[in-house]
Amino acid sequence: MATIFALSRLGFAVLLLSNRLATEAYVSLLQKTKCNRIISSDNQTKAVAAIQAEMKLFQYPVLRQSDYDIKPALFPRFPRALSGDSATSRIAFIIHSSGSTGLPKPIFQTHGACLSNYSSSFGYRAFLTLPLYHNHGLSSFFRAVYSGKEISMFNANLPLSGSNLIEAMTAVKPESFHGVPYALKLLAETERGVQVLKDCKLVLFGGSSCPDDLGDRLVEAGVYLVGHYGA
Amino acid sequence: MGQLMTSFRPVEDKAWNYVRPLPKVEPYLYMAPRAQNTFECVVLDGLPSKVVSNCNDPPNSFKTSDLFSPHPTISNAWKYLGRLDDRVTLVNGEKVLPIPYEHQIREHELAREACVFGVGRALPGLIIVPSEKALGMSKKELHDSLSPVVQAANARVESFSQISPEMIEILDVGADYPCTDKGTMIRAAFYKNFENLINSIYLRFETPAAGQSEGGLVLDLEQLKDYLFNIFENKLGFEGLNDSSDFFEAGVDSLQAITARGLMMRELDLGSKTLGQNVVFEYPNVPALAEHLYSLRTGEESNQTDEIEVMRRLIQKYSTFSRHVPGPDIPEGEVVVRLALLYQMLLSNMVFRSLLGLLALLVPMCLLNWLPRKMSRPYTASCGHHHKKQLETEFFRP
Repeated sequence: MATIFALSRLGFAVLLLSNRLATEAYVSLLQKTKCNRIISSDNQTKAVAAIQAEMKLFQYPVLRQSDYDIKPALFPRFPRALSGDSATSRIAFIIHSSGSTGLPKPIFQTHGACLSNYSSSFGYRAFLTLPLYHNHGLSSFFRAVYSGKEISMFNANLPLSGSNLIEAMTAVKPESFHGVPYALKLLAETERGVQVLKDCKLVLFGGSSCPDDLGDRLVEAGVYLVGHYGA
Repeated sequence: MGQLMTSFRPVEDKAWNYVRPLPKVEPYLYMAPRAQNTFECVVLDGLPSKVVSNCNDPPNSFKTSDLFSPHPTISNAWKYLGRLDDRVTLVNGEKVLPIPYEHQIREHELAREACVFGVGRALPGLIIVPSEKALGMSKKELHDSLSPVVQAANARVESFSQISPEMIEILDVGADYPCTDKGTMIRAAFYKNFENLINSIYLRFETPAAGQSEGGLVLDLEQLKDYLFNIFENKLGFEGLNDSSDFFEAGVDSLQAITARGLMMRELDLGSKTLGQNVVFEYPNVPALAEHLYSLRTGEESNQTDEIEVMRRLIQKYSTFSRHVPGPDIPEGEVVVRLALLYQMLLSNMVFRSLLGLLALLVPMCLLNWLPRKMSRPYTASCGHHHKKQLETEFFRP
C-alpha cells in the first residue's frame, strides 16, 4: 500500500497486475500501457524474469516498512507540481480485465473517477478477501481510507478455507464482508461460518454470481446478503 | 464504471439476487432489450465514474455485455443472467473460456458439437455431441478416441479450466440440441435444456461409482494413507510428499483439491457422509486427512492432533523453568570448564563480528598460558546457567 501511495504521489499512473497471468499477457499489458518499471515482491522473481526475457523492464523491490517509517522525516516532503484541476484528469490506476475474450485489456481510471467512486462508502469496518489487483478489492480498500474506517484483508499466503475465514473473522469482528461467492460457499458449510456472516451488518459479494440456493439459504438464516454490479 | 447497482433493500425484501440501480447512477443506466425478458445494461454518457465508451448509439455510451432479467413484481430490480460473450464463471470467480476449448474439441472428426458448462460450479465439465462418423461406436470407444483431443485442449488452458475425464458426457449420435439455423449452439438454451444431465454429471463426480452402492473402498488407516499418497503422487503429480508435507505448501491448487475430493467421494466408503468442499486444505496433510476419512466411515471420534494442540503441548512441556536463586553457593566448578564456557559465550555472541571473535579467541589463549597451574586441577564441574556470575568473578580474580 505504501508503495502505491508513494508512486501516486510521485505522479505515476499505477498498473496493478494480477499475480496469475501468463507471461504473454503481462508483456501485452505492459506494452499497451507503456510501462517499463515493475515493483514486485521476491516470490514473483520467476515471473518477472520471464517478462524480462521478452522485453526491457526495470525491477524494483516493494518498499519495506523500515524504508518509509522514518520519524521525524529526514527529507522535506516531495512537492507536487500539479494543480488540482490537471490532476483530476490524470490516470491514477490502471487495472485490467481478466482476459476472458483474449488477452487482458487495460482499464484506465482517472483520479477524478476514482475519488467519485471511493467517496460512496458504506461506512463499515470491512473484511476483504479480494486481492488489490481486483477492482472491487482496490475500491473497498480506498473506500475505507476515504471514510477513515479500519479494513482487514485476508492473508493471501493462507489457503482460502472455511476454518481460516472463520478464525480471521472471529479475530477482527468486521461490520461488513466483501468476497467472492466461493468464500460464502465455504462459510456456509458450517454453523459457525453462517454465524460470522450473520454477525456482519452487510455481506457483499462480487466477482461472480452467487448460486441461488446458496444465497437463499444464507438469507433465510438471517444474513443480510447484498450483491452488487460494477466495481 | 464504479458501482452501478446493488441489492441493498428493505429488511423484509428477500430478493437478494436482484440488483437495483444506485440513485446517483439511475439516470445514466439504460436497459436495452436483447431478447425476451433479457436486457443488456448500457451506461450512458455523463456518469462521472464512466471512463470508457465503446458505442455511439446512444453517443459516447458503454455497452457492458452483461445481461439481466427484470424482477416480476419489484420495479427496476434486475437479476444478473450472464455475459453476452459467453464466459463460464466458476463459483470461485475464475473465468473459463469455453469457446476456444470447444473449437478444439469440435475439430475432431468424431465430434459435431461440444459445450463447456460449469457456471456457478466448482469445476467445469464438457458435453460432446458426436458426429455421424461415430455411428455404431460405444460410448467407451468414443471416450477413448476423443481422449487425446481433450488432453490437448487441457494442455492449452489454465489449470482451473482443465476438464477431467469424469466430467465429460457424450450424447447419442444425432442428439437434438438448441442451435441457430446456421447450426451454432445457443449456449444459454443448451444449459437450460441439459440442466438435469449436467446436475447428474456433478452428482456422479461426487458419488461412488455404480456397483459400489455400499460406498466403495473400505480401508483402514494405513491403507487410507497409501491411497492418499497414490492420489497426490500418481493422479495429481506431486512427488516426494511425506507425512508432514502440507498440501497447500506443496502447491496443491483449488482445482486439484476439488479433484482429489471428487475421487475420495467416489471411491471411498465414507459412511454415507459428505466431504467438506475444502477438505483437503482443512486437513492439510496425508495423516490428518486419512484420519478424518477413517473417522467418517467408522464414526469414531477423530483423535487428530491439530498443530495448535501440538503447539500448546510443547509450550506446556517447556514452560517450567527452575528459578535461579542468587546466594552464596559457590559451586565446585573448575576454571577449565569456565574458561571454555566463557569462550563459547563470547563466540556465540560475536560470531558474526570476526574481529571481536578473534579477540575472544586470543584472550582466553593468553590466559590459558598465563594461568597454566590451574589447568592441572581435576575436573569435577557441575554445569548450569548460574555459572555465569561465578565464572566472571573467578575469572577476573587477581
